Amino acid sequence: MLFCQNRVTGIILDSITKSPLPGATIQNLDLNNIGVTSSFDGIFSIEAVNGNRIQVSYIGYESYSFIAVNTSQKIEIFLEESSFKMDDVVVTALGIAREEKSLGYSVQSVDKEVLSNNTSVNFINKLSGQVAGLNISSTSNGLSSSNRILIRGSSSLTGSDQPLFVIDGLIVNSEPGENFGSQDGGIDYGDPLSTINSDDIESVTVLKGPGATALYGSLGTNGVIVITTKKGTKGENLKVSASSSLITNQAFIFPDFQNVYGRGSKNTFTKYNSQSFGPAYDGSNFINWLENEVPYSPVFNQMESFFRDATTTSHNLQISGGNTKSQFLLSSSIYDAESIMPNSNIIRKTLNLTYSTNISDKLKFNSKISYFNQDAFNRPNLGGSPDNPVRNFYLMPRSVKLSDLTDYISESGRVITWDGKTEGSFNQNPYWGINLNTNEDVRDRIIASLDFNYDVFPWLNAIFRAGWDVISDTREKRIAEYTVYKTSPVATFSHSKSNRSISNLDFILSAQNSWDNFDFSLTTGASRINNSIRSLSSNGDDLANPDLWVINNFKEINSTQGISDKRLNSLFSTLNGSWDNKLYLNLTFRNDWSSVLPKVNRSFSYWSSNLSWIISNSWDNFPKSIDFAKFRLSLAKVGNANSLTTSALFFNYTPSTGHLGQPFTRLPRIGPNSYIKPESTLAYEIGLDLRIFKGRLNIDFSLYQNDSSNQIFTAPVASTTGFQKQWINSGSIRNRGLEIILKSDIVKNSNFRWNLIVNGSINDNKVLVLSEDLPILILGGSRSGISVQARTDFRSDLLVGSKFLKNGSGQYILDEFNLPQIERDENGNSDFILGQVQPDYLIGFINSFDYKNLSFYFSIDSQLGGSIFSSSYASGSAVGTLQHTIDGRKSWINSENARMELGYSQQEWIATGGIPISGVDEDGNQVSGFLEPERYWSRMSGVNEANVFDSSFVRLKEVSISYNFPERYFENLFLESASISLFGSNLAYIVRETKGFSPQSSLSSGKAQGIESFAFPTTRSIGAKILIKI
Amino acid sequence: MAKNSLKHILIPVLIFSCLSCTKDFDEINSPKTGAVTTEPDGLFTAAVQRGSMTWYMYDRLQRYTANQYMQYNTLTGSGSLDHYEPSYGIFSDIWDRSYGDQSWELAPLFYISHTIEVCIDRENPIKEGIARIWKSYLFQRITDLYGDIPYSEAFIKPLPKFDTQESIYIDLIDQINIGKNLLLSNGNYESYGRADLIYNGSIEKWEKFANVLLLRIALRIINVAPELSKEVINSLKSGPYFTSNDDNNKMQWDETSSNIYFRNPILVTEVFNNTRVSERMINFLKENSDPRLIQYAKPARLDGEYRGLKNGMDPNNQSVYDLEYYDRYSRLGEAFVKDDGVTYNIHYAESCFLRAEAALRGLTNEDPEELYNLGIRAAMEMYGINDDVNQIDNYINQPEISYNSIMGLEQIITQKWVALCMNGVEAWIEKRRTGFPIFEELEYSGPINNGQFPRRLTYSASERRLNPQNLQEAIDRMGEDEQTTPVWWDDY
Repeated sequence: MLFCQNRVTGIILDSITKSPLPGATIQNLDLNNIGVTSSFDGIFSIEAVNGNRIQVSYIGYESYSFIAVNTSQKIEIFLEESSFKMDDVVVTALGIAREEKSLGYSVQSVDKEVLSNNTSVNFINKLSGQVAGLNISSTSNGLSSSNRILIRGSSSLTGSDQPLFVIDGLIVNSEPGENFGSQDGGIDYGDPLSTINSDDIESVTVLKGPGATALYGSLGTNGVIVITTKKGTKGENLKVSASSSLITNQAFIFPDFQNVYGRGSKNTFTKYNSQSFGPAYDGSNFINWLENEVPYSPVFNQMESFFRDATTTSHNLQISGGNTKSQFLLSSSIYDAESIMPNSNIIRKTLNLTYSTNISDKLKFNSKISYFNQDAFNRPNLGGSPDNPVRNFYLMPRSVKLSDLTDYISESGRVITWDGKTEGSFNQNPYWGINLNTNEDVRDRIIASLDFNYDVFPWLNAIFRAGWDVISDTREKRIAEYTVYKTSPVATFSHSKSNRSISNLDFILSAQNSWDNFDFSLTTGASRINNSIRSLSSNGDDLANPDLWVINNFKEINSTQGISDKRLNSLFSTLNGSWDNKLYLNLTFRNDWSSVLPKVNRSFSYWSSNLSWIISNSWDNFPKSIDFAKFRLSLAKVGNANSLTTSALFFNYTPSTGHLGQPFTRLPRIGPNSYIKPESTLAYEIGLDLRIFKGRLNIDFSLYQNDSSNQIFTAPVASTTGFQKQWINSGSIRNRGLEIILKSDIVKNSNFRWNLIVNGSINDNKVLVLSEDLPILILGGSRSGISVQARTDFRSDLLVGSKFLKNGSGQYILDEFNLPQIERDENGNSDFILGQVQPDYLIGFINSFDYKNLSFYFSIDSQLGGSIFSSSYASGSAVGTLQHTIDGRKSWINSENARMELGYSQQEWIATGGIPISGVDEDGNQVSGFLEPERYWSRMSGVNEANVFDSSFVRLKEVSISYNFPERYFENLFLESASISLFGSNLAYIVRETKGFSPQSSLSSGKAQGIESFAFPTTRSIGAKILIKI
Repeated sequence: MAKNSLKHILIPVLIFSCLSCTKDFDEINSPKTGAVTTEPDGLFTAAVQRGSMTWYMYDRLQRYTANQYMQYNTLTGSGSLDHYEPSYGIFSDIWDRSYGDQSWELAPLFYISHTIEVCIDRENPIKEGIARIWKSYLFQRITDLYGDIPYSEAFIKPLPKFDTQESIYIDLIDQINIGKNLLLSNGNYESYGRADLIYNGSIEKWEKFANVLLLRIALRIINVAPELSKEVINSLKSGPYFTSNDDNNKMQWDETSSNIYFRNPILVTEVFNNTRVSERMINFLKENSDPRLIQYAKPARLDGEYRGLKNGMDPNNQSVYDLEYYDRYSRLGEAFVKDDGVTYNIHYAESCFLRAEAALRGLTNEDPEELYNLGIRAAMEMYGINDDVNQIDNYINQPEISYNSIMGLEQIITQKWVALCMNGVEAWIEKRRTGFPIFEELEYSGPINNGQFPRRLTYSASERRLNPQNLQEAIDRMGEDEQTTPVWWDDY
């Protein structure tokens, strides 16, 4: 027998998929720690003698140890995927990848699985409930509506609180939609994020607090959302993946209309009456508003029949390939969605190419170019716009048949609408609105970037990166001749074009070194960001030739040009130090020079210090039941000057159209301030990360406080200064909160896995002070008298409006007609706090189940504690179209009939039926009786308090089920894999308090949220997707 | 090797310094769609156009307020202003839009004050002189409406103090004289030309306007500061004043613009179809067979009669809410609602009546009767009535109309009232000073002021909120912030 060395050979396999794991590390702990790696087939062979301790480790899997036994047999080692990858690498500020355990602040990532099966135009909708402390409030404005994204509450009174978006290291346009939130209507053009194709996204990381974002300096106040896109992978054959989905969208929350009483007032029908307090339906024949004799009977589901089940199709193709030197990925998608509103749709196409190559051993090159094109036709007119069809349904008398309105145009070209008017009416025929008063917008966007990555020395690396994001928008809006609500009968047209671009230039040097147990890395860099906007918008009045909608066909044309440029130069540095895998310290420093600030205040510095202490590595006798414990501490200062424009600094003269050909020179309406400073946020954060039960349960707590001071806003000033408002630098807001992330593999075995993630957060917002002379700042509002305000010592999102006058024991103090009345303060104002817009609590539950090739996923998100005012509900109450207004009508009519029979006057009669009311009179005497429903609801509609709803909800947000066809099916085919999934989103509200509209129906995604005004019904999406890979 | 290391150090240093320099920042941040310097012309154009009251100001200040007080027009539906009840919202609006730039309103007081600054900066004394005269016209109007107002510190301080009306009047006289002197001693400088929508830059006409304005100011304070009043009138000697309707200070409106801020404001507000000519005005015209009747009013839609709607109707009378009821009453006539219409700031007729009053009071040597007749003639001719068939002569020769020195002041002011029709502000101010014309008591008056004739507007709610201390100081001086509180010159 030959002397032969003792060896252990075996194969390393994934415990669930049973597929080999190449590149795993196998170490013999008792033989000088010698180590080998497993081959491509997962096979290894290591020198060992009986009794040696062998350890197998592999990134992303639990380590496995065993005692070597001399045997000629190949042993099989099954590695279990670790639930929580302790060595997880996350992308932090400036695209620097760091181990999660080393971070002194909270970050949370969402991977591509969550983003797949996207049903809405905007991928950001998918993130709701996925990240603790991330509040996404969607609006109910039809397709591609904007979202307001808040991380850890609103930190800016009037400036933007949208987080910064960074795609592959490139800062991109992410300003939320325009300020469409007016009660007079407007159009929601969506935010720039809606152009991004979710299938191209690899992962999304949310940097929440200033500790994480301080490297972005004056851009980092509101948090940063870092998007990493998919890239070609090394050493693979050409891979093709294709997917197609078909989705149907269905409106599902409709107002609860009454179907008992028809058109009229005081139980009497009149032809053109605009209320629904007419007589009860009796089926007899009557002459309607079109002078036709028809049965007097209810018409059901008119609003439901106006909207349609809309179909969305989306197709995506991805080709990737490369060798060890160069890789590429090419993807293309087309997304075609109908709106639930007839005659409205959106088409988006994307093309994306990434290419990376190793020019030499030391020099790598990455490049990427993405092109998006989006064409939206006829986005809905919102809010109080007469062209908003929803408005029509709330107001249209219940006995009017929608089918009588489908012929919307008379022979003379005028509108046929239910109030009989052809001019000077806001009761637009909805079919005229959607067919003649149309709009269209086209958005082209190119994002391009390239970077060179050079390893100067083994310890020194340099990156040079350049990128551009260019958005070009063209928008057109037509209002047809003889539109019923226009003050003049001529057609109007607006055509506007805007180009927004951001260019980034970065140069970053990183060095690293280590001594004994100390590891250091220092990254330092410089960047320049240029922002530019060019726009031209033209309005035309009065068509010269009929139906030719180009601007030069209009008799009167007005144009406005916009030009704006900004530049931000920065130097930054970050130092990371770690000691023995126990303590990690991260210091960052950044200095910004911003062109939007006045010369004296141009230069500002920001910093952060973040500490991570791995408690579980710090003591040898740390309890074994806790696998991992980490304590985080972070202190940082960041800024915000993003919303500033040159008009804030300079006293500007603007030319404008003048009188009889003599131009006017206009003075600014807002007083400039040449000493303005950026807003700044000082932030504290502590956190604890615990992993127990062999990594089966992970609990993460964060506690934070962000004090944002030097608020930049325009404060109202006395008109005798000449200005409406004045730019000031004052006030501070505090946001405090707690975030809890719970992740658990509740069941986990080789066949079945149930993973649960719970994200919970609480945020408390408080305005510490506005300014010395200004206790209240109005941020927005509507004509119904409701407003959103910031008040010193209260919050910055207060819903303020009129409320009922009540006595100490909560009884109504009734007026002379026994009606509840509005409370007024000593100045006659009725501005009382009725609620807050933003919720206190956000909770998301994410469940995923895997059983063999089948996986099932569902998520629930919920918000608690916010309020929403509904002007639709108020309007529907006033005109009597809503179900709740029928209470007491019958008994009131009986009472009135009895009165008239007996010949009593109103004053003499004590009503025997109607809406029961009790309260006290002005002198405090108890009063009770019955009220006429029509009067009662008319009063109720005018008191804001009666129309404020709790906007809390629990929603079944997503459900999906997918099946991966077993590989054996494809053995003789060219396919590599295939899967099919069925999914639904926004499926149902399990709990909601709003009546007839969804709790997420804010008119605006701006500051004045919490106001609903004839919102589109929310939509439920159900779809199927097929994905194949070659 | 050393060379290589140097390269490694130099490149980053170069890049860093390049990326952090701020050399171009001033250029990047310079305003691109607005100018930081300007010529006065565009500001002056805006100040005269808005100062002549575009539709919104006309609607609030004239149609709703002064024209109802002065019984030129009545609004259907019987609102509170017609019962001498305050409308705080409207009074605030008038203040806020005169001083501060609100939406389309281009606050005339702000614009004219700024025009003067730009003129000084641009060293053009002619333009400066005209601007000072127009500014005085506008500030006299606003102080006559409210009493003490921010004047010396307006547009300068963040919380402007309120000046007394007396000190404002003294300064207005100075300002007009400074303006006149600048016009008369700087012949070489360029005037506004077409940017002056009123006089096309004519120095001569602005001088005449300055004199008429001084005369107006002098008579306004005749009861409270007779010495100053006389001094001003003596300094004027014989003007020159306006010599014909060609000298009228008026605004020509744009008949083609689709922007209602450029259209005839009376015509714009007429589309609401809720204005009727007052009964008092129509009856006065009818009683004296005034040829202006058919100019001032249209025949009623119902029966073709000229019939005026009574001011101060009882709102409990149900018919005031019946729209068809108003078909019995005359809407405004051609004199006011023409597409290419004009509105008058100060016209020739007014200047004649001012001179007639000064003569009547013995302050000048002119003949009051002659000026009174001249004023009536000018007022008729202004609306295209000529004397071909002696209709003006016949009118003047009626016993009720023909000048009578005992009734002189009442006759002069009453004729001025007819001539100022639809410019209720000036007529209201003159009624507060003189008590003329005499109106009957209202049929219904609201509980707040019990039918007492309004003597001023109350201050703006936003000024009260945002400049409270200075406003309170002014109220403490004046009495109460009520519409019954008389202003300084009002000792009637």
